[in-house]
Amino acid sequence: MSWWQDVSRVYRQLFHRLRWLVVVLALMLYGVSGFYSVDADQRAVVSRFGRIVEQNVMPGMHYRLPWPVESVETLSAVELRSINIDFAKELDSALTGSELTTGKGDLIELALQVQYSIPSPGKFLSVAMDAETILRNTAKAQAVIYVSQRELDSLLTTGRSDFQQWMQQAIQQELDSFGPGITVTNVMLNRLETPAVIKQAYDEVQMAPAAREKLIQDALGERETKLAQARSEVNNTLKQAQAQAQAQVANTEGEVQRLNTLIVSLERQPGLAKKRLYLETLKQILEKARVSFINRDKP
Amino acid sequence: MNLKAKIWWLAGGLLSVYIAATCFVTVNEHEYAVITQFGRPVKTITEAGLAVKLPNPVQAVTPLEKRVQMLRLEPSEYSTRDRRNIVVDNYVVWRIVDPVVFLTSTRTTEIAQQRLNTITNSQVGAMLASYPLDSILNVDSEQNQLDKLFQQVSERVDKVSRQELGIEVLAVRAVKFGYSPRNLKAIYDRMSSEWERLSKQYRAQGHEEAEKIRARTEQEIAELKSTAYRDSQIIKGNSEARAAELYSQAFESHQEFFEFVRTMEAYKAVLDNNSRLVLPSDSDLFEQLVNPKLDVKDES
Repeated sequence: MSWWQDVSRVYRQLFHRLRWLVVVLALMLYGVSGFYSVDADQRAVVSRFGRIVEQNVMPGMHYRLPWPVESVETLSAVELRSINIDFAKELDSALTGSELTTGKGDLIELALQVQYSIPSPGKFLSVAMDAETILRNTAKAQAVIYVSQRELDSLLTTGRSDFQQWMQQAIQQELDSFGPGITVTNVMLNRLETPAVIKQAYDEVQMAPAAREKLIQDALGERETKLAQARSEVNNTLKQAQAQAQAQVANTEGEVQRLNTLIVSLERQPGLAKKRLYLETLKQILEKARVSFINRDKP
Repeated sequence: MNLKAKIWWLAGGLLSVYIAATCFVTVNEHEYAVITQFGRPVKTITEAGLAVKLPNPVQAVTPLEKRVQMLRLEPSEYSTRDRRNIVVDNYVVWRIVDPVVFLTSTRTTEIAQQRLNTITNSQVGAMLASYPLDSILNVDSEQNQLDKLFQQVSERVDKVSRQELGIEVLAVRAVKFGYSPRNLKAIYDRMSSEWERLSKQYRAQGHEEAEKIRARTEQEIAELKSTAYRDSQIIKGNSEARAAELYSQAFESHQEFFEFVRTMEAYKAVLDNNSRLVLPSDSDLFEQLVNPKLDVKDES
């Protein structure tokens, strides 16, 4: 029994001296448990007995009253969040078809990304139960409305940036009706195209104006070649005609000149000249031609 | 104080601490607290924070969700006024606004959702049946009533659900609005045949335009050539006239002689290597050859 008495005596003496220290230590530990830190990409919300007292606590070291008075909830990536919506990959697309319907009853495939930030984490946590799902469905519903008012062609060609801007505003407006603390910063269309099954036919239409243009350009090119050819042909004909005409005139002039000269020299004895000419001609002819004689009975 | 008394004191103390603790209620920012007295709602606390009530079991607290919630409905097929079948996939955004009505009418969220589902479906069906399809889907924004239609549905569902369920409906919207997948092939066919027609039209336009250009080219070439022919004929005519003039000038002075010379030249030109002449042997020409007069009288 003696060792037990010893222990209890030492304990009593020790406790008597240290009890205040223990109490102070416990209180200090309790107090220190109120410190918390918020990372660089996080924001925190502090509630006191369930009521939010700090909507948006910035990164760093902070203090709150310890449990059960105050509690902290942290949210990550409040500045740059995004959700991807691909209508083709939504759960019930097998049942309903994945395409959106345009104002003219055509079908179009769409995938988009909504980028948003959470300027007010307190509201984000307390106003809507699953704000992201709500955002997701709101974006889908607004896309359905926009597409239903447009034509396929304008959507696919010029309408993209309009679509994105309109979407951003429309989603924001829709969310603002109950204020879940979300700011839609950007909407991007990742895919906006005709259904894959009939894409080829559509691509052909896109190429058709170019094909038309090619036919016209070919004809124009052909025209230029033909015209150039014709012009040079015509030019040749005229040149030839002129050359022939000049030659004819010159020849004639020469001939006339020659004859005149001949005449002047022989004018004094025309009979003799004639005879000489005749014999020269005869000679030339008979040199070349074959000659046969026939005897004619004399009468 | 004996041991028994001590135990009683301890038990009594614990009990009173417990009762005192149940007097305080922590109400979160995202919920309502409905305080019921023996099961009957007596008070609703809508402000978050610490609240006081009578201790258990006299008053109990039931927390209810205050936040906006989303309910996805099953996609279903409706008929428009012009009897076109349309597949619509809806969602409802709602929240509890009257906790007491909510608690007394439905008790649980599941039942509330089922009820909401039924109300919404019937309102959507009724509303779609009162519009023809081309005033829902239309390129003209005046004619396009899709947005308006769902706003009306939202208002009507909201009216009913507020009274019946203590629920506010913020929005009923469609994440799918279009034809049934059964009709998909027909739509694809229509779209691609429209496009094919358009392609053909473009090509035909190209051919037509090209033909026009070709025809114009041919015409211009023909014009060019005929003009050139005319001009060359004029040139030729002029030169012939000039030559004729030159000859005639020469003729005027020595007509007989020119005729003779030209005749001689014509003979030369006509009779060449291949010519064959058959001449009578007694022609004057060969008189000297056949019958030469050789009796030369010497004059000396």
